[in-house]
Amino acid sequence: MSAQQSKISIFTNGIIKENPVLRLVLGTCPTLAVTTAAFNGLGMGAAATFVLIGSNMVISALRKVIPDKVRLPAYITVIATFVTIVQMLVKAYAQDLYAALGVFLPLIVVNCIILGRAEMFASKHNVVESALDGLGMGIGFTFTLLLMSSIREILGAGSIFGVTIIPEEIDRISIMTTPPGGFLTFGVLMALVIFVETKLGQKKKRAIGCEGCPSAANCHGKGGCN
Amino acid sequence: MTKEQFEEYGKPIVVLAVICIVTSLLLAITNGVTAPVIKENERRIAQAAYHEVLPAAETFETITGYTTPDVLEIVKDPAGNGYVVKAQGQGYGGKVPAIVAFDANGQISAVKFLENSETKGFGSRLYEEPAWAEQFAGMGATPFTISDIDALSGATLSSKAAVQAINAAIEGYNEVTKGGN
Repeated sequence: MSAQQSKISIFTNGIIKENPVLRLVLGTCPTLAVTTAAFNGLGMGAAATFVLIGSNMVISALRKVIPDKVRLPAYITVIATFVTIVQMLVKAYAQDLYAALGVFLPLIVVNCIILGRAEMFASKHNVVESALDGLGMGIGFTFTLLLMSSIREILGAGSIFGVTIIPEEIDRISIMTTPPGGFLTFGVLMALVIFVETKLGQKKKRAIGCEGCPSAANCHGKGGCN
Repeated sequence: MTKEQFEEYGKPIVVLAVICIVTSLLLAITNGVTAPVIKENERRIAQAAYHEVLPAAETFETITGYTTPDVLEIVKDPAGNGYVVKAQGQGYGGKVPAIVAFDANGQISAVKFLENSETKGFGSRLYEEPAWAEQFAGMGATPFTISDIDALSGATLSSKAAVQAINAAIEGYNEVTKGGN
């Protein structure tokens, strides 16, 4: 595989093969909580993508300087800084989004996707690769959130991005905008992804252990996850 | 200190300290840029809410120097159409904020509850169902108790918080219009 191809695969990894929400099952809390309307899902995805790219690049640039002992506090400090900057900017220039995301905006700090990519990828790769990984993972996250929130908004509120598309005469499935609707959508989407994968003949061993782990390529069986 | 000792104990402290200093600097710069914008936004939202409860007033000027506890802000219409007092009461899940408009005769003309963190479906009805607050319109500026009003069923503590907030507003209003200054 040439260097160019591997860069592209780093980027596409996060969108499909290692989709953070549907395949790695990370960042589930904001996924379920904010996907009640398409606008919120898109905003959350964009905020998380910005943080992911920024923190991945900084952590990658500092990966040889940060001692192993204090790497987690160092990573969290960098991530928290990016999150706080995003929070201030959103509060100043996008108040509707700020009101919609509420507490889940500052909670991006503890979003497992971001610390996960710092630990699993950025600390072992160069800045360009880490930026691509952050972008890919961010787009994967945003795409999934947008998909989930669109489904929930269309079925639950009969609209998309606030524009009504289903006539008022047809009853809404209001459970879709409530937390149970989030779990329902999440479960159906995950099942769908596995179904499509199986159809495409990419059936994976789903046992707990390195063979079944979508991140195995990055950790080379080193991380004591089992 | 040997080189090994520095690598083991000194370097982690230095690196973490430098990271913290740099990130603090970045945050200070961002805050410097966004804080005035955020403050202006909040002021505009507050003004819009004041205008909603006291539509007769064109502009509002802030009054200072009152001592009533739980009063967050008092504004008056320079043209004499009345006062708007923002006050809060202690609810079940935190503070319950409300804005109360007093007309030129000193009567409550409107009450609006702002978003609170009370239980969804119970105390949250304070701001979700503005119709409940209509019962306060026309009351005089004298403190009252929960038995004088129709409380929200299932949300006694939130209703008490609402009463507490409105009473605080009444006291604040009386202080600035009749009391000391």
